[in-house]
Amino acid sequence: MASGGSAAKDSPGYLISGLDESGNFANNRLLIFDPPGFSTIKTLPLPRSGIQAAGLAPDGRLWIGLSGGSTWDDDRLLVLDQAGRQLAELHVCLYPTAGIWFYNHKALVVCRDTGFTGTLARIDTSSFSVEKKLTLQLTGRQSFMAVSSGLSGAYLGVIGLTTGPLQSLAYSMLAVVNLDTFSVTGMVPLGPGTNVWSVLPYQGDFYLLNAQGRDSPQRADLLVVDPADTAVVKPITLPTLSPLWGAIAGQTLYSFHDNAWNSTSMSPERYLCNTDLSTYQQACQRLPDGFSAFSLGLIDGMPCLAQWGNALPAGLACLENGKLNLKLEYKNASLIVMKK
Amino acid sequence: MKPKFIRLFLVLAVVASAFSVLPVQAGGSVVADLSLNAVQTEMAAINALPAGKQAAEIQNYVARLPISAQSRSLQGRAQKLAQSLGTASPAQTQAILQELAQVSAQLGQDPAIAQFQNDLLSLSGSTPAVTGPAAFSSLVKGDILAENSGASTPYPWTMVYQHTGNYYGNSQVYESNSDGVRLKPLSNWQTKGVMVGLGRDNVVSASTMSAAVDWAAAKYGTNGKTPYNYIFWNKTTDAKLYCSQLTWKINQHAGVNVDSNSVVYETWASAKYGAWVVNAIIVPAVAPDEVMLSPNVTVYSTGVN
Repeated sequence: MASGGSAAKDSPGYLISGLDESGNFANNRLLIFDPPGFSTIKTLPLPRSGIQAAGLAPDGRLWIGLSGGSTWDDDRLLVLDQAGRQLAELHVCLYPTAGIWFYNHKALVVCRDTGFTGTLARIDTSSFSVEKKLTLQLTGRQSFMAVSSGLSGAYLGVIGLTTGPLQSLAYSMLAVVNLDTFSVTGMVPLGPGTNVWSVLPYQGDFYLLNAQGRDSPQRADLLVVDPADTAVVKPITLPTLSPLWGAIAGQTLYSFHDNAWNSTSMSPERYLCNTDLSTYQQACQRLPDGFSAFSLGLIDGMPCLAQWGNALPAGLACLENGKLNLKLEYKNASLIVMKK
Repeated sequence: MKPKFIRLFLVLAVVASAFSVLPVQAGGSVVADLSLNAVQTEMAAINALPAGKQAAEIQNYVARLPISAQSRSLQGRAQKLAQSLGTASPAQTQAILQELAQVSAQLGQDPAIAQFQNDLLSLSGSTPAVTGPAAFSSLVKGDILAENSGASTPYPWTMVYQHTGNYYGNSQVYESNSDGVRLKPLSNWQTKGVMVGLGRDNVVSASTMSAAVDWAAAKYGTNGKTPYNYIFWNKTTDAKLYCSQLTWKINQHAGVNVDSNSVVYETWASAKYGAWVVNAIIVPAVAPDEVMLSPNVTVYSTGVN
């Protein structure tokens, strides 16, 4: 869902506000900024709809999936050029909210669809034609509600929420898709107490941030899966619970921690942490209670959060010299998109 | 001021005062008093009537509201729009619903309607008393979630709640939206600014409600096959479902009717849209508000995210 990443210094950054349903999405905007100075280049209006996924193609085009509101649907997929001008509006599958990625001149769009099954669509980035679709599903009436995804080499990992044996506990599945054969090569149960919304690539593996590890019978805040060998899921306990959004640079995982996201937990605790992935030593900063961030990106090596402002003024807040500073004030900020 | 002018002024003041207390409409009926106490008294009297006589009394009551002639005319327009939903194409349906939303917004600006509705809202006890999110931690499978996001909704006759769904367990909600019956993440119900009420069937056990949700998923599908029902007054059909119709079906399967035909809600809707709405829409349909006002549903938490 969240399409953070590490900024390239010569490319603009994009900040999207697209989650203010109580305001009828009337203030949806795309802010294009210059990463080194955090100066605004321009802001442009975006359509009235929820926006939960976006991806920046290697050619610099910005792809945005629209997700509708809580009582209405949307299937629009917008393609904008670097200046923010709309090049195309595609209708590929319902709720393109679970990730947009790029591989070999193809866009890979993950849709939530019925919620019981998801859809992966492969789109040619030049002609915008839909080449193939793949249904992501489990057997019987078991749900596979696609909520997040990530790309590692020739593999796409898609997280689906499903119904485990304990209904009080979240339960996630990982579908591994081989992009060369465009087929599902593994469907990995992650177990009770798994609520994964970030799939990060690291050294050829998928690093899955589990926001619900607190509840699982065997606590696992980080799950590592080799996409070429899905038989083993390596659980890792971190000093601080509930990583939700994250990015990896070098051997450091930067993560925003929130146990309440898509959860029946009401915990107000929020943290911003960095973790050495060789030792799992972690340094964390506690954020104001109830701090609401929807994505994390790295800009000039700083972890930055797009946050919609019930604890600080809304906007892009970055951890700088151990202090969280508001670098760009922006109402209802929700998604950071940076060139990787 | 000279004494005779003072006397004249006092006489005029008394006459004006009498009219302000007991103004009379053209037909000779007394205009309804919109103070909260008066509305409470009238509602208590209607509630005390036998069920068969309440609709007529609601009709008399709302006819006495000091609503402008323009609003009465708009109520007629709302009736025609609602009727036209029965034969509309999908494109026409969207246009009709948009116009209904506009008419509804205009009616909400009539000062008499606005004050009367505020009074009824206070009496309904449906608005959250505290800020902060509802107690999502208490959710169990089968529980009813109801929300008002402030955004546009397919269901036009909203007093407090626009939408309902049933908790499916594992942070998922089974619900019907404009795209039909689907499963959605709980996080959709936890977005900023959205008001949420959580309710639980208080007649049957949690295991019965859990089984009823599974029954619904088997019957209405996991592939989006059951589309949205814009013929709101046809709640008995299984071919199409709107949100609160799905919730009603689930509870109905468990043997519990959650369509309350609440007097407060019927009065609220009649005041806004005209008395026609009770028999044409409210009684045959099942609104989110009717579910949340049902005596068979305990609203155990409300809040604003």
